[in-house]
Amino acid sequence: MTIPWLTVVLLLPLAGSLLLQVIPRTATTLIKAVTVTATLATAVIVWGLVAHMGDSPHVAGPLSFHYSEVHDWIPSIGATYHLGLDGISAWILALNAGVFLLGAVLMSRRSTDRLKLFCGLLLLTETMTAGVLMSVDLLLFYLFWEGMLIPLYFMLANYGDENRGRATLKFIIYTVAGSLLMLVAIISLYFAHGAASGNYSFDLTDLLNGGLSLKPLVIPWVNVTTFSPEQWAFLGFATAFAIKIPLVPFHTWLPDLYESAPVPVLVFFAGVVSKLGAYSFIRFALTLFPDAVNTFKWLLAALAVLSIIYGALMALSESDIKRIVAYSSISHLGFIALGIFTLNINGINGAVIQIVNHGVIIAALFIIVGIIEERTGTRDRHQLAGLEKRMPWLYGFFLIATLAGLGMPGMNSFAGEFSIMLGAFQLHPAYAVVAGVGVVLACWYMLRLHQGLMHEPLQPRTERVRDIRPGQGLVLVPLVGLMLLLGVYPRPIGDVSQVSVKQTAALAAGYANAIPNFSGLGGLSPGGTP
Amino acid sequence: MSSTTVAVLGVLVLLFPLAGSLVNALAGSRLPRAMVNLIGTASILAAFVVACLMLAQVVGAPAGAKSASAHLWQWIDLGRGGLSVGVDITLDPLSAVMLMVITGVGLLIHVYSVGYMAHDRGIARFFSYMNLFIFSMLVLVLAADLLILIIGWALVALSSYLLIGFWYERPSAVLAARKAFITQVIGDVALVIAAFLIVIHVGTLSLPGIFAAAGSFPNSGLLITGICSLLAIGAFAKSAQFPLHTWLPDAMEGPTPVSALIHAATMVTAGVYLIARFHPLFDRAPVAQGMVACVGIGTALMAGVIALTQVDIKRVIAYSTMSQIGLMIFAVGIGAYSAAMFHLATHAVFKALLFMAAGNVIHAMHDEQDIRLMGGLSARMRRTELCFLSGTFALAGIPFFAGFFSKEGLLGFGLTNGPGAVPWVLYIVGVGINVLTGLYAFRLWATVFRGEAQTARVYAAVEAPPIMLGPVAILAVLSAGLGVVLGVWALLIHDNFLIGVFTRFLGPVFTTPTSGRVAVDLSTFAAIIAGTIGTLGSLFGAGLAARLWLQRNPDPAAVAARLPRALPQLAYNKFYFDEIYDALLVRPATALARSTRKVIEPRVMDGWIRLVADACSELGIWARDYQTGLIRDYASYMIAAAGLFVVVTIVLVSR
Repeated sequence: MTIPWLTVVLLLPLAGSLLLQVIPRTATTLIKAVTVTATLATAVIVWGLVAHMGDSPHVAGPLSFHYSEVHDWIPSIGATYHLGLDGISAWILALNAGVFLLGAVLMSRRSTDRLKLFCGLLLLTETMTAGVLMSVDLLLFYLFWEGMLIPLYFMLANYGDENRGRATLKFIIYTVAGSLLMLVAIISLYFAHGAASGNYSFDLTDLLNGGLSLKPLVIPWVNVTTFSPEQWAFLGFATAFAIKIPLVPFHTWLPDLYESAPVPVLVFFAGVVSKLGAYSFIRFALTLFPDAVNTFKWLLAALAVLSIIYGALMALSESDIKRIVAYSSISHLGFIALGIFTLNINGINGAVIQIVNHGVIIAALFIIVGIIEERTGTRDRHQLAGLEKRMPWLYGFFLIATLAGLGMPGMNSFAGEFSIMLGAFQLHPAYAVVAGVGVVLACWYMLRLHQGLMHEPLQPRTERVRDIRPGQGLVLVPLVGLMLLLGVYPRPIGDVSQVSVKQTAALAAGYANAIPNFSGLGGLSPGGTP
Repeated sequence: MSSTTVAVLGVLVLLFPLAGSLVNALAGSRLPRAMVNLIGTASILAAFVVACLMLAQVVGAPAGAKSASAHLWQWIDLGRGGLSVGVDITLDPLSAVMLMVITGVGLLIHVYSVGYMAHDRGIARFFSYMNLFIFSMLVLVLAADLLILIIGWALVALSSYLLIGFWYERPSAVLAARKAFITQVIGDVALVIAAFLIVIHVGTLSLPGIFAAAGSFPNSGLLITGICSLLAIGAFAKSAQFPLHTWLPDAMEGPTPVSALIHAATMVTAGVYLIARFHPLFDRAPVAQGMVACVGIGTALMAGVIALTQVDIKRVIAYSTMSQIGLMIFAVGIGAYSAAMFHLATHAVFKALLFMAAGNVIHAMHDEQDIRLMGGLSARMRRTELCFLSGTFALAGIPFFAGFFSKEGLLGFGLTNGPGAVPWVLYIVGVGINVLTGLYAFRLWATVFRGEAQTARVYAAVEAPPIMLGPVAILAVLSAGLGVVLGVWALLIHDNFLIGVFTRFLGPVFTTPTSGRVAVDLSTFAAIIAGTIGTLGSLFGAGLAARLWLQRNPDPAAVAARLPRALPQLAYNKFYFDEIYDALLVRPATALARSTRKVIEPRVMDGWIRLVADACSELGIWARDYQTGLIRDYASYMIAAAGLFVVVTIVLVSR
């Protein structure tokens, strides 16, 4: 019997969380050990799965999964327990396992009130996010998507600075509002597909195999054709994902939340949770609604470019270092979104690569900013200067993270951004040019942040600080190492993702069951569609 | 020359500086200073030895096989229709010349740094950055794929940034570093977009692939003109050409060896290298070539004028660098690639020499850089002065010094081969630049070393130690003798006297079947006349400088007073480019950013969501009024609703 590895990945953190409930609250060492062990074991399994992706046979179909598990879940309504892992989700799942491990390690190094609650919630969140990344069934996906908010709510509402209550409420209401639109879209999709094919199912692979023959919706009396049902359903999904990514103008929950949340939460929240919107866009919105996505891609790409510029401008004018990083994150997620909306293989591959890269970078940046805040007692960049003299090691880590953050060639994010911008150029050169302005602005605000904190004469706040401890360095070393390694050798991500991306791009171009014929060298025609 | 040889030597030449950089970065703070110095310089010495081996490989290779590439590893491969990039390196005469310049001049400057930085506490950091720079520059010139070239291109900018801001406690250095880096990133973006156009049209980013497909571009079509213009913008940013030139003078905030290595000898010439490397494309885009030539000569003229008015010793040399690189850019713009590369090599020698000699002066004057406070240093620093003079002669293009051969060569080429209908117009400007060069070169020497001592500090100045004097002396000998040796060699082996050796060595690179231009023989009568007139211009400038600043007859101040006031004012303030950019770009961007944060984010972005929230609560407040608790109200709602339902049903059915 083969081991259902995906289920193991899903349940292992949950099991750790349950195990914590029988441990007394005072046994902090044991709690930490269980948490770190559970996340570590999950990480090892996930990384093993990703490393052996090539060995597994592909399942034929419009989307082929390297690993998949299908069981009946609620047969009466056609909901299945369908987990799958393909080239797109694989590296993101690996990132997921990595940042939760990092969050657990960071947690184990500090003393926190109500540690048991925190660790339990952390493990629960990991199960939910892993579920989002592996679900192929829409109802199952929705369950994890919404379920993720429960542990996140308690974590964000209980830990963090004094503004956390308001920020958390804003985040939850924002997200739930979007999710409900998506739920309506899922149900309408379910009925439309069932009526057309006679097979009522929530399974993505079923939905892709049967045609979606939705009649256009006509407003009575006026006889004006509005958006087609497909377009309405797409907009439902798109809103939910746009809020999660977030795209400007749906972004205002993010800076407040990132400002108030504690660093161990931010590591996995900014690292992977905020990437789930982008991932889900690729997985569901691009594949299910090829017509709608082609209609709206201009608008969505424009919003993505707006996010890039807007986030950069905000990062340029903020003085709170945590908010600067938060807005830089909006700008970078704009790049990822731009890659997705190009609908061509360069753009989508770039987006997948960049999701992983940005997860690594943003985790490192938040850890560094957290250390600086902890050592100096302030987040105001006007009170911080000259830290290079006091903290040479932190300076080194920060320098590499900064360079990676500004898309420096030779660092990991260059591969992703180059590919994204190439895809955007194929969609329309104007997008790439404006994104290029975003690159210059990114250079400006990242250097302003880095130089402002590290250079110039010391300030009263920074005169007495000490450099990072070796333990803190050890947390940063793998992140910084990945930034350098994936900079000189970004190939592994692209190797795993490209087959699945090709299928997704084919579906988005409206060619189910067929990979369009990209004609070799000259085939990079604008638009990426044959 | 086999692919394996290239791979082994290429990896070795890259590995030494990289290893040196890493060791000094990670462990340098705990090593003794001597060890740090040793690691920093030995790594470059090793790279230099390997580079010599590589040169020998190229020289020894049979004609027609002067170029070889090696594939190290696959950087990315997104399958059919997707991006595919290999980490490839190439060795050919062009990259061999660059290798020699980078590691050779680089080695001398590293040795010099041991002395110059002897009292700086950040020596490990310094050598780590310097070695990183050498590594980056080598990546740039060895790359056989445009994307890898871009990586080297950006790493060069990074090390330049780190070294300009080396004394990070000075706010001016921090700002200068940021300005330099952002300007470089603007150039990077232009290069990246050029790469997009290339990969979409050609399907590959590998340089041999691009050049092989150069013929498929319509001659002087829009696409090729666009690609070449974008490449040129990248080159302008790196080589400090108008309009992306303002960062170079500020970059003088870095330690003097940095100015010598990065902002004179190597990095700033990378733009020249880039255009020379992409000559198969530029040859098919005459419009872009003409633009490059005009920008080059225009920058050369502008920087020459500014150099004449500056009072900071390093800034004078910086503007002269900008001017000389302008000439090289002009040369590649008119298709005189070999001449440009020759001037690049000689310029690297004499400009590094000038900077390091200036470094000796600054050292002796205890970090004083204002030339108005010097004067009369010749008595105290005889050897440095001699070296400086050798560099000045070479810079001014005095016959038989290195600069003479290269500069007059490219000017001669310009007369016969310039762009547009009237190539001689640019040639006349070139002669004018020669006069200017003579003027500012000898002005600097006369003001610093001759005349009366202007401050007491001059009397306290002492000659530099041997470790600083040695490298300077070697370069001084080279700058005096390099031209002669190459000239005699050329005369012995070939028939052509002017730049013969270089042209022949680089010939295989620059003569391609796709080249639309006819190679011009420089031994023609016209070229010799052109060179002679150019030389006379240089001599005239030098003589005029001697009269003005050595004999003070007439006094330069009196001459300046006779000019319209605006002219020296404009030149002294660098034509106000910094102020213009600040007003046009920096201020609007920061104002936009500030208003985004102050107005748009709270009012618009948060405003619309608050509007939705308020609407929901208003709706609730409104609906609350109908929850009266009275049975008769509820009964009336029910009747009204039922009536509405009936009406709607009837209407819908009757349609």
